Amino acid sequence: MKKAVKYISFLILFGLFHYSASSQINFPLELEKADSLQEILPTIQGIEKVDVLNTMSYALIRHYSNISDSLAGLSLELAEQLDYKGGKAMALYCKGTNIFIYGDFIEALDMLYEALDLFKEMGDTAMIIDTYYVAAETYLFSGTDRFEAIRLGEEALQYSILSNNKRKTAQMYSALQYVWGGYIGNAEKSLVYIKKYKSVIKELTAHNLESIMIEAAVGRSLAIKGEYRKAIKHCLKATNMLKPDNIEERAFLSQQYSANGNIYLRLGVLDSAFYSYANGMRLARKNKHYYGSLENSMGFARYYHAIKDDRNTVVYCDSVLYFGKKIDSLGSFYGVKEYQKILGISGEIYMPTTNAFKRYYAWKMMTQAYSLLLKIYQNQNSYKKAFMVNKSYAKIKDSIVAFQNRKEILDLQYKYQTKQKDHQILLLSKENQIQVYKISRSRLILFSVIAILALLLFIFILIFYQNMIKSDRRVSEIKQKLLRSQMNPHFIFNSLTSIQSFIVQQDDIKASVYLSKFSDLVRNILTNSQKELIKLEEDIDTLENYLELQKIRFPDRFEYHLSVDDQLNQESINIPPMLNQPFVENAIEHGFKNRETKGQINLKFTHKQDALLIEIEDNGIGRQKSQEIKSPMEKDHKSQATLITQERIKIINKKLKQKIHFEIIDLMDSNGKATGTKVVFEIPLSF
Amino acid sequence: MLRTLIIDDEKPARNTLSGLLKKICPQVMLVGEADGVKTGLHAIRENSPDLVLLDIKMDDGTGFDLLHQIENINFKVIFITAYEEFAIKAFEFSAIDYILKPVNPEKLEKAVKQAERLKQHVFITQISALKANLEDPGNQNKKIIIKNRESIFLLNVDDILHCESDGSYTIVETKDNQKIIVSKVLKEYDKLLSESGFIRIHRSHLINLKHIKRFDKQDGGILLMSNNTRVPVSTTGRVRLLELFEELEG
Repeated sequence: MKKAVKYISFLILFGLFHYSASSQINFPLELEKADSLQEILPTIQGIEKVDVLNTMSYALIRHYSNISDSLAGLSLELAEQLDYKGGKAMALYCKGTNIFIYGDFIEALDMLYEALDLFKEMGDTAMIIDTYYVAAETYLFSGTDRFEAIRLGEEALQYSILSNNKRKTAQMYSALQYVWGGYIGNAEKSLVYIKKYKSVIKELTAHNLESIMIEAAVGRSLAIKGEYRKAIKHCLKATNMLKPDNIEERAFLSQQYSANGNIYLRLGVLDSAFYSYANGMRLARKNKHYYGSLENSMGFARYYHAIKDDRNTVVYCDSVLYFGKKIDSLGSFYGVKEYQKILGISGEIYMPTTNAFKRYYAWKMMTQAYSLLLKIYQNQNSYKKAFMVNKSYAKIKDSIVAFQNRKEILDLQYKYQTKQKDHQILLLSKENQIQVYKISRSRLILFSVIAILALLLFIFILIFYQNMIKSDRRVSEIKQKLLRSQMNPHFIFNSLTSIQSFIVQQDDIKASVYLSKFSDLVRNILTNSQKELIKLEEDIDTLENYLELQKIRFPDRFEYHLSVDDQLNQESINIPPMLNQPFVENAIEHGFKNRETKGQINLKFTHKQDALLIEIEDNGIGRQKSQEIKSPMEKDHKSQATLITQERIKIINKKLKQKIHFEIIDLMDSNGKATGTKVVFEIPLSF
Repeated sequence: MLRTLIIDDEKPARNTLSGLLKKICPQVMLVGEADGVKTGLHAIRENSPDLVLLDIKMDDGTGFDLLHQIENINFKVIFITAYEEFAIKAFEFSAIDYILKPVNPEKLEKAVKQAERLKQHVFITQISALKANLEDPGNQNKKIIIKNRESIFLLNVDDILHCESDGSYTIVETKDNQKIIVSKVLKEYDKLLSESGFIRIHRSHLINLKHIKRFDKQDGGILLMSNNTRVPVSTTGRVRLLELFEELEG
């Protein structure tokens, strides 16, 4: 203890040489107070001593955390001996805060939670607010749970409002806007808190730096929302408010220039972006403000990347890494030792940053540089360089993860929260049975809502599943229908009868030829109707076989002409099988009824851009007439073939980007008399 | 000689029939061919055939359409069909011969011989039964032709109470207590009538469900029909019958 006390005098002596961190508005250093207390320390005992030690520790907290921590350690020991709750709580708070600054987040939270419990027991609102605030900081800067940080911040805010503490209320609003905007990127929330802050601060005197921070924060939030033009106005206002002759403000200014540059880059105003980064760099260089150099280098890297200058992008990424490594090794935002305790980044007005956290900040920026470098090297196919970068990148990422101590902190949080809950429930069950009843009722409601939702989900899944089965069944039904429509029994038995006529006439060659054609056709239909796609070649073969067989049934009824564009690669084009056959069948069996002269069917396979075009044209009696003279039993089968084709196309099209189009055109002469039918298919070649 | 006319819209089919007839039916004299309803009517008037081989489905209508337009049918008809399920059932009820495509020569020969022997008035009765059956596809008032040596009966299916097997003969009992002995096995009637509300309740008994009056469960089971005929029920018949009752009740 003697050593610690001595050190305070030493500090006061040399305090003048130290740049005072007067800008840390929320946590002023009270060296003189500590010094005067130190004088009375030997004369007091017991509870009083605990209080004095705590007051000293609190006065030095965040600035000389080593001394503050030793003082808090002494008072904690003493308070425990005396069983002095208030003293113990305060000591725990101070120790927890210092340990947080030292970077041991887990132990810090453990102590802060304990302190919080004790402050709550005593109803010390001011300290409850402070403890919540530090706990929130711990969550935020450990990177474990930003939302828990916000929740704790909100608690602090509620206590501030309840105790009518305007200064604290403003501080909480300001801090919360900073977390929402700067860490979570939620501009709306941030702007809401800024507005609340402004309404509270009106009654107080605002600290100049804080007003600038708020102005900059408005700019940042608008930029997040994509309203860059409005954003830059606020940012420029903040820039003008900052005075470059103060070291801390100069550091902020350097940062603000980098933020301005980023917005200009977004706006595509490249020369202004360049100018901003150059200004930022210039200011940062003055005091070896490494963080400013880091941010503006990253800005330049982005700028050069935007204008596709890979060489300079790499140069500035390397610069980022250089400054990042400097910050990493020094644990300071400045390269000048004397400046280590002053603010290096604007956010520090809300909190003290630890060395570990300064490193963490540098790592974060370095990952951006690494990822940009990686992108460039990969584009250049410089795999060796990319590999090296990736290795360092991974290392930094590991450091970040290790820093966050995620799991342990979350365990701690869970433990505290369950403890809190147990405590609450115990209280409630003792004091207010009705409250318990209400809770259980709201739980019941919650459970029933969950149950209903689960049921709905289940039903939804069931319906979805059923629909899937249905559509599967639909597809197989269509397949069967297709088979049946193609295996038209009339066609089959009549074709066989035609072949029989060759046998009866003892024309064994013809009988054999057509029998084999018939077999080919049946074989094709049986295999093809099971397939989704077949080669164009196969489809044309099948169609020709079909036409040949129809011709022996009706030798005098029609002629056909089949032409295939030479440019079509029949072997590589795939199409759904037998789309056109029902229409050819229609033409032959119905289109040429009651005709004196022979009918003509023209089949054309050509291509149109990236689609296969199939045209089936006949000079028959037209659709309307043929429908009129059909007997009732025929109408059924024929229209079905067309329907099946339509349905098939619909199903196939569901899976395709480029759709199959098909169209039936009634051909007319100039008097409007039907002169035939034309069916056109447009099938994408991209199957 | 049997003056014969072939009506079919597909030339190869006509060729098949004429070629086969020349080879296997020497009694047939081909008097012409036609390729549709219109030309067919004309050819019939022109050639006054004894026998017409008539395709059912043709370009300008059906064979039935053609017959419809003839007031006085003085020829016999063998129907030729590739695939008309509904017509085939109607033919069987009307005891009319038909031939399936492609043509089986043996069946063609048998059909021609039967047509030769068939009396014209019998054929007319069959045709009228066919007409009734075709016009009434809903199976109500279905007509059935039952022939024995002496007579030909045109009955409503609903009027048949019960068919009993007697060796290779079947005794058909009607509502008005007529008993017709036919030289057909019971199995054929079972096949024909099972879709028209008949059930085989015993190896030798086929009954019309519409005429059941009562089912007595004693002695294995006896059915009392609407005209008080008692019909025995076999074990399997009993099961079948009870199943049916249950279905009707449910």
